[in-house]
Amino acid sequence: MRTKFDEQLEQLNSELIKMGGLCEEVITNAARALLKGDPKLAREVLPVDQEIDRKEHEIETLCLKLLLQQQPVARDLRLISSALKMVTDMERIGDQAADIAEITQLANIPLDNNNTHVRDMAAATVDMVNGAISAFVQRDLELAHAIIDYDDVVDNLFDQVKDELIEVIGKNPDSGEFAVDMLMVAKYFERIGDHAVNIAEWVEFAITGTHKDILD
Amino acid sequence: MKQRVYGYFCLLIIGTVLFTSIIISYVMHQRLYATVRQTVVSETNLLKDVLEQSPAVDLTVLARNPDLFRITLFSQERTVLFDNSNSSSVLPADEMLTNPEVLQAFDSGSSERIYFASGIQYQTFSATLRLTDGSVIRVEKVVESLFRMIIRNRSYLFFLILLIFFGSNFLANRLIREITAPVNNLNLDELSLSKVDDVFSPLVRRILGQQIRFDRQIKEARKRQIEFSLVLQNMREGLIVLNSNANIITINKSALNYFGAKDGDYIDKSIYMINRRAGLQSAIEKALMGEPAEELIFVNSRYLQLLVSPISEDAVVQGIILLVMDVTEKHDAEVRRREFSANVSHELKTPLTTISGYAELLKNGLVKPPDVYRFSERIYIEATRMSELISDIITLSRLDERQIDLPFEHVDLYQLMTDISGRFTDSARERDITISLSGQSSVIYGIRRILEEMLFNICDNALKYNLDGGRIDISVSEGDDFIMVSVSDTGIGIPEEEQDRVFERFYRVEKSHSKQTGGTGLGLSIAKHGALVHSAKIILESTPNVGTTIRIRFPKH
Repeated sequence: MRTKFDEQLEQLNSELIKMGGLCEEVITNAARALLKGDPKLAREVLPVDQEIDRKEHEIETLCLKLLLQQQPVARDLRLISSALKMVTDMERIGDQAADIAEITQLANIPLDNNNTHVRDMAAATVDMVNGAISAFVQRDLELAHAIIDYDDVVDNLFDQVKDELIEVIGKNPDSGEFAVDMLMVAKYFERIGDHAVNIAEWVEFAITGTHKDILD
Repeated sequence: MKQRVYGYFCLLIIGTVLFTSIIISYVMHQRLYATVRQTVVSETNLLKDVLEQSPAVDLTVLARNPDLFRITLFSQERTVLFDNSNSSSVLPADEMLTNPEVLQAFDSGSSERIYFASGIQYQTFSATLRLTDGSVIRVEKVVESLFRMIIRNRSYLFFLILLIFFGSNFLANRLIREITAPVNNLNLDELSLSKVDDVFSPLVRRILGQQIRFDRQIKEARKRQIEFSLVLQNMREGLIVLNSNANIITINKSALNYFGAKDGDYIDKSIYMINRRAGLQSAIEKALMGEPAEELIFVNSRYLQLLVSPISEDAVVQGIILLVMDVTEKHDAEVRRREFSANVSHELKTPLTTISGYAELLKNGLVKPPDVYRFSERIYIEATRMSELISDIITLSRLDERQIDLPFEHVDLYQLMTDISGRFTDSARERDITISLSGQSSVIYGIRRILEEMLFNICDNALKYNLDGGRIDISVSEGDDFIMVSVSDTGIGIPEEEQDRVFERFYRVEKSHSKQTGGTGLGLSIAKHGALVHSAKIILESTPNVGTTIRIRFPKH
């Protein structure tokens, strides 16, 4: 027999998946808008971010309700507590994607072939977010570990972008504004990567009961 | 079944035992009673004889055992002369005088009586005789009644019944096992009438009949399923069937490919394991509410059109059918068409503005007579440009829609190139450009008008974008399975990053330059479409400020 608790857990799971889907949507669109220089697409990002904020609130309420009314233990408790942590990371991903979209709208960033590293960063970050959400949906521990390891790639790319931008400013001081915008975009991508790693770590915790911070 | 057999067994055996024991007891008792009666009567006669022969005999000796017989002697005066009973539990002898058999014996000389004493537990047999001296002798024997005997032996009976219960259970089990053994041991896979007991042959015959029918139905169902899954798996469109929890019931290969999902078992898993796009989510949610939905989502650099419809029964959504179509090309074509119409309007409006401006000045008489010629020329040039543009657009749209009602015929490309280059001789001479044509007669099967249009446009470009005093080399050559037309110029060239785009409609490398050279921006687009019609390939090589070579490679038919 399906108890109310099981139904609520299932609802929590599907709400998390939906919120994850929105995160994938928002980061994919933000990256595409940036790479195509498409302000119209960038404008579409904001409403999705607001939807993510709403979802965060809903999921938090649901988690607290579950904790107070059902007093879950073991695996269920881990799922609920990691859900509470994950939504925060997802919400931050939404915000930062919206920030990237905002920069795309306001500043005319010409992304040409010289910005391959930013392109790579965008692609890598989108992959990381997709991977982290997939790891949660499929309860895939291996994928979660792969995402955690992949963060180094994004961090290295960020360093490369930074070096490139320093060089650009050195060569042409007029491109300072462009370089600063670009640096911000790269930093947002790097932070989104970190949030994806956090999600992957909570996925690991939900499955195994061990978390990096607890082990240390 | 077992319970019932067991019940019947018990009932039958207990019934038999009870009935038999009652009958046997009854018969035995009847015989016992007869013997007892006989004994009592003969004892009475014996005593009577003894008493009559020798009245002084001592009765106490003769009747010393009161348990065997109770002997009572009454005098003629109806008093008790002798009684051998010393027990207090029996009827006292003087009270016996009122007994009917005693009274009867006094009257008629003899009597017998059988009656129950102490309830129904004991049966009393008595014989009474009158002696010659008028006294009466009574002999009585008490034996157990049939009921008492049965009641006394009830423990044996109870034990017997218990035995019957267990015995019946055992026998019932055994019987059922034996009856069902042939049925249980039936090998349904190798069923044959010859191997089973006759009793079961109707059953076996029916099973065999059923088996044949089932086999046929299963084969039919399997065939249909294979056909269905073949169709499903090889459909170009993705098809997903979901249940009311948005879990996957069926998913085909195309759908997995469209969503970029890894191969694996997704049956009974959430659709969101495959994709979580907001568009997909909202479409599914809408369908779960019972409304069909349509969404366009962008996944893996492709535009996917989702058609989601609910499957409802009695107004309750039981599942969802999700059809996924790749509409990237359609979407891109739509974008191109929109761009094209925007460009066409713009391109048409520019000469029209010039024409109407100049015409207005002329109409209002604001133009001095010496300038009228210049203005008219300007109007003429712009009108020609518009006319060219319109005819180009018509050609392109015909090529686009593949509405070519022109006949295929054998065309000598060398001859055609000679004609075309001839048309440029004057304008080339004006700019001191040399045109050379080399090659040999090469015939392909194609549409003359389109070939002419293509090659004219390419030569036109070679001239337009050439430098004064430059060269145009045209050659027609033939390979094993192709004919190649090559046009190279020594013009301004096309930068590498723009080379892909020059075949796009209205695309111009240098926007300002086109105004001077004229042209519609559709030339290479027409060439590209013309090549498509002829299954030819266009190869472009260009170096800025050195020149451009365009080769068209026609396959030999």
